[in-house]
Amino acid sequence: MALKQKKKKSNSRGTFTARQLRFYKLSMLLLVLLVILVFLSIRLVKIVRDHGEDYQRIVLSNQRYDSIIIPFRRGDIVDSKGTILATSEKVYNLVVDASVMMTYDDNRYLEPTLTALGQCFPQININELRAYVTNNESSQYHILAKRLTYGEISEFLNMQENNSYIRGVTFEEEYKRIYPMGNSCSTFLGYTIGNGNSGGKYGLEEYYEGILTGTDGREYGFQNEDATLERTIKPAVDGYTIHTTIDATIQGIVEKHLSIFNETYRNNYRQGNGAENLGCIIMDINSGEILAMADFPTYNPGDYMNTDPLIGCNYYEAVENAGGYIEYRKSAETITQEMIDQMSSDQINVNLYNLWKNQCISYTYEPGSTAKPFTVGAALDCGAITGNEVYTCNGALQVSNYFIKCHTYDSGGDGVVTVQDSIAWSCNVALMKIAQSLGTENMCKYQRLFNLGLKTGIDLAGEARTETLVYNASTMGPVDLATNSFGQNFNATMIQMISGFSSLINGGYYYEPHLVSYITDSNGAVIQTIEPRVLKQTVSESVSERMRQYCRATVMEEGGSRRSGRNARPYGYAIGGKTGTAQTIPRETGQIVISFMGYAPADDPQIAIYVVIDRPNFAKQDNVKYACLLCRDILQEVLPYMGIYMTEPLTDEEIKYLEEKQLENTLRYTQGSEEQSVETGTEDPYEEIELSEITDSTGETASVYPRWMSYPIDEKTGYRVGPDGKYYDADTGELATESMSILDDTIPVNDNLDGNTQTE
Amino acid sequence: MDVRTWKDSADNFREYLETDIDLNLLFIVLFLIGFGLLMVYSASSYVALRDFGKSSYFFRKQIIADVLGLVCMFITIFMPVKKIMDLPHIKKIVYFLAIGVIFLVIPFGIESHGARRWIQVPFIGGNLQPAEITKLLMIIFLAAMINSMGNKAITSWKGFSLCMGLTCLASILLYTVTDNLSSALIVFCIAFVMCFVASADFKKYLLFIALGLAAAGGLIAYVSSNDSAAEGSFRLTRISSWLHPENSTETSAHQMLQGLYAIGNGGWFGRGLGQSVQKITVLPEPHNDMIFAVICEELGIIGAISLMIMFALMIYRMLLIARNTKDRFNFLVVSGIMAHFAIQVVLNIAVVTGSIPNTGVSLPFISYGGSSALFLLIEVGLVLNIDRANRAESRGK
Repeated sequence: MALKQKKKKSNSRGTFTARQLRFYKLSMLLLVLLVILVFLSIRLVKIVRDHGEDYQRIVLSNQRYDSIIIPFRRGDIVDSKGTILATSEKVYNLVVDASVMMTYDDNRYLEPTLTALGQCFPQININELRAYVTNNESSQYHILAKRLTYGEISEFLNMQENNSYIRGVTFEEEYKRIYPMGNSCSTFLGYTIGNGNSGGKYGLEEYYEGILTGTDGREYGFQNEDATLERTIKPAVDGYTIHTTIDATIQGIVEKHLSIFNETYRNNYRQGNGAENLGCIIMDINSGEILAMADFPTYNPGDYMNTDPLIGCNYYEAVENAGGYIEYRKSAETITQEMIDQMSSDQINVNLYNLWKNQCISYTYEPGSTAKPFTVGAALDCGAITGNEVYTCNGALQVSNYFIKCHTYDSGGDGVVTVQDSIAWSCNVALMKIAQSLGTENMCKYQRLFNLGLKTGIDLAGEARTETLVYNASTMGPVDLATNSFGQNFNATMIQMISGFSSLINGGYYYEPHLVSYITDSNGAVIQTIEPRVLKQTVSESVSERMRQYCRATVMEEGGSRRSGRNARPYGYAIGGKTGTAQTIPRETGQIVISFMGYAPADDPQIAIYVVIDRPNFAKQDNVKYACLLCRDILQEVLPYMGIYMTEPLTDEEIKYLEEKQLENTLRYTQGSEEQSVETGTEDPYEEIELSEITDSTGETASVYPRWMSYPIDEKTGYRVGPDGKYYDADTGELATESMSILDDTIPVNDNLDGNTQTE
Repeated sequence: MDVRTWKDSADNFREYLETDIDLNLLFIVLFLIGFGLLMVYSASSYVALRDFGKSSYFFRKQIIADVLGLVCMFITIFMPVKKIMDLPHIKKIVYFLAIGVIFLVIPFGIESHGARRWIQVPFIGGNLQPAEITKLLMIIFLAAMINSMGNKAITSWKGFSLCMGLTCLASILLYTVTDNLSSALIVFCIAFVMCFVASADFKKYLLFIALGLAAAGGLIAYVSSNDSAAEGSFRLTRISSWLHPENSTETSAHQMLQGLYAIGNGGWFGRGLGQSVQKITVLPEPHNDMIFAVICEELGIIGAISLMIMFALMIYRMLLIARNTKDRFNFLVVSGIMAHFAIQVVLNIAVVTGSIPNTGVSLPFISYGGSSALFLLIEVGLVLNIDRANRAESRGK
């Protein structure tokens, strides 16, 4: 139309002036412009109409806002003083976006970025990265390095800030689990899989998984009704912090001494660790709060796949049993580095499982004589005995068809034994007689009351079930009753024993053992407080008082020369306790679990301690002295640390010993030194022991030098060998008799007991 | 001075403005400058923050250029252009100046974006694109040249060839010395339009337009039929990447494609001012040649068409001024300036919408660029100067 009009005008240009023509021609320019603008508008409309949705999608997919996870921080685990046992540290993954680096053909971003990466991260191979980036131009997410600390990346962040050509490198946040105590505390802590937020395994990490974990946050974008990109941030909820009752200092003392024991006796008699298992628990006797819980060997939860702690442990192999289940059977062989190198990963894992286990709660064993207070306490509490009974020990007792010996069998028995002596001297015959008056029904009833056969409910993952490892009233025969009375023929865990023992001492209150006192959220606000919980009354207060008296006599001098726990007394303190020397299955192999279970101070019990040495690395394992000494060494440091003052006089030798070892002497602050010196001389326990031992074994009165001191020392075993072929302790002259095998293979055994296997 | 004298002078000023200056055109230009500043700030803030640490970096520089341009515009309005053009040898001087400034890039040039198109201006510290000066001077030169030739001479082949020949020399120099094809083409097109307007002939121009379209079509057909043809040549690669942007790895194709995505993302009503997603890292040079894509994304098709209407209105106002212009030289100057604006607007929008290959033409008053704003405002000043002369003439009647 318009064009025709123009043509008409130009045809008859004679009627137009030149000026008019110019104007019309210029108007045509505007017209052409309008036509083109209309065409471009149509093109715009077409783009939106035909491709609008596709293009919107492309634009949205360019934005990577839809799936950014903000990780939560796993809660800390701290001890009662606030020392951090486990924490989570923010770490950074280095992510490379090749598409950004390759934005321009002239590589204006690529080279500066690579140079900066090379400078700040020497571990990165720049040539490899260059090859990757140039070959994968469209790659937007490539993790180059994992778990860098802020210190490691800060230099690069600075460079990135100052140079706009450094592009395509981002840092993704993550948390890494840190165990600042290293190998310490692994017994009850457990570990976290992959050292991250993938869940806890064993110990507190597993038991309190739900408390420690939080909820991941998320930063995400979504299209609303108008197809607009909305970005929303849902912040992460951090996990809660658990405050344990553990005291890291006490824990450290315990672990130090377990480690010293292991170092001292490693490869002593056989290849391997100082004992197959070492365990120690210290507990607040009046609340059930665990102050320290250690086993040996430990591992580093931050490096839990490390096989080094396995060296010296007994080798476990997986065996399929008759029922078709896989059993892990402990062999006599101990692990060496060469063995580890040859092991398959499955075999390594089987052995690591055993390492990761908390032996204090998952290992079951026959407790031996440490169970005697339970039997006596039960008999007193139900009125089966009055406590004034006197028993005669001839060295053995005939029960049904079996002849069950006392450990004094070779020396003709303990003779006349009071109830107190039965504990203090650890007389099996008296205990069997007490159990007979107690009866099977009451025996089983009280075993349940002491939680034997039940779980204690401690807040740790992996507590062993012992239901099948004890008798009940219908299955317990007279022989079982007799052997149970002195702690053989049923299995228990360390935590069961110490919890039950605490109730015997503290007035009969059975506290549920626990490790966590309160829980706080990430801001420090208390979420939950866990109060000590009395589960039941096991014995009456009067019985408990008698038990304190008997247990004190086991350690302190009022128990007489034959008391079994004399070595457990820390200098300057009065404590009570009970020793244990238990045979393992099979009998007659001389495989012994020695232990000492005690409380301190004797007159005002505050803590209970239980030390177990499972199959020590000695030629003759039945020397309970070592468990006592280990207990003494631990208490010697723990009691002053806890602010418990010495109450007993110290001899010059003891003061010298404390000074040499740089141990605290808290007696000085409570008692004058004069008083001490008065007591010295007559109080030397070693002298007394030596004399009494000689009297016992030979019937002769003491000479100036005990006779056993002249006996030659057997290099293999470390014992002195007398002319009669008997072994004497090289330091104390104690008779290490062969007749410690109280039980022989003929005495019936609970079928479920087997110290060497565990079923997963 | 008391209040009355103040009031009187204010009244006088208003009266003066109403009688002497085309306020409609002035308003449209001021609107476009204001809108341009807004869009430069929106489009460049992210890039400015990322590269210079200050989101207002480009915005501030553009404000300075715009204010300088407005001052120059008002000076131009009151300049005795006609008298200057009556000076002896003025045509030769203007022409040689137009060509001469091109060579300034050789000693004083600054390389940026891979081309040597800018020169550093001493004392001011800004960069100047000589091509912008050439465009302005060529319009003035051609108007004077054609004016001196008379109607018959310019209608003849000889006159046409002379004008176009001198223009071609300038264009070729622009292309070879500053490697700036788009400016060369714009200068050529302006001259073509001016000759067309001045002459009484149609056939010649229709023939040339037909020939040009045929050549362009042939080139496109050649490139699209022969994949390897584009290799090695920067210009041909651009055509190839325009035809198949998805297959191209070239930056210009990436730029065009991202521009299209931005238009699609904007839809009819846009994402809202400042809400462009594409301007963040994905769309290269969002405040320069691709600012129209950001406008489409943020303000939608409605906003984009509104902007086109404003440009059309501006050119319409210039056409009205041209209608009142009796002087042939003045008329041709207005024609040249109109052509300049029209060509830049059309080329820029055509590139953003993917209608033609990427040429790198900025959108007048909207795109970021100091020298462009400065000389375009001087051109507006020239048009207003002519309008003022027209008004004076009609008053004098």
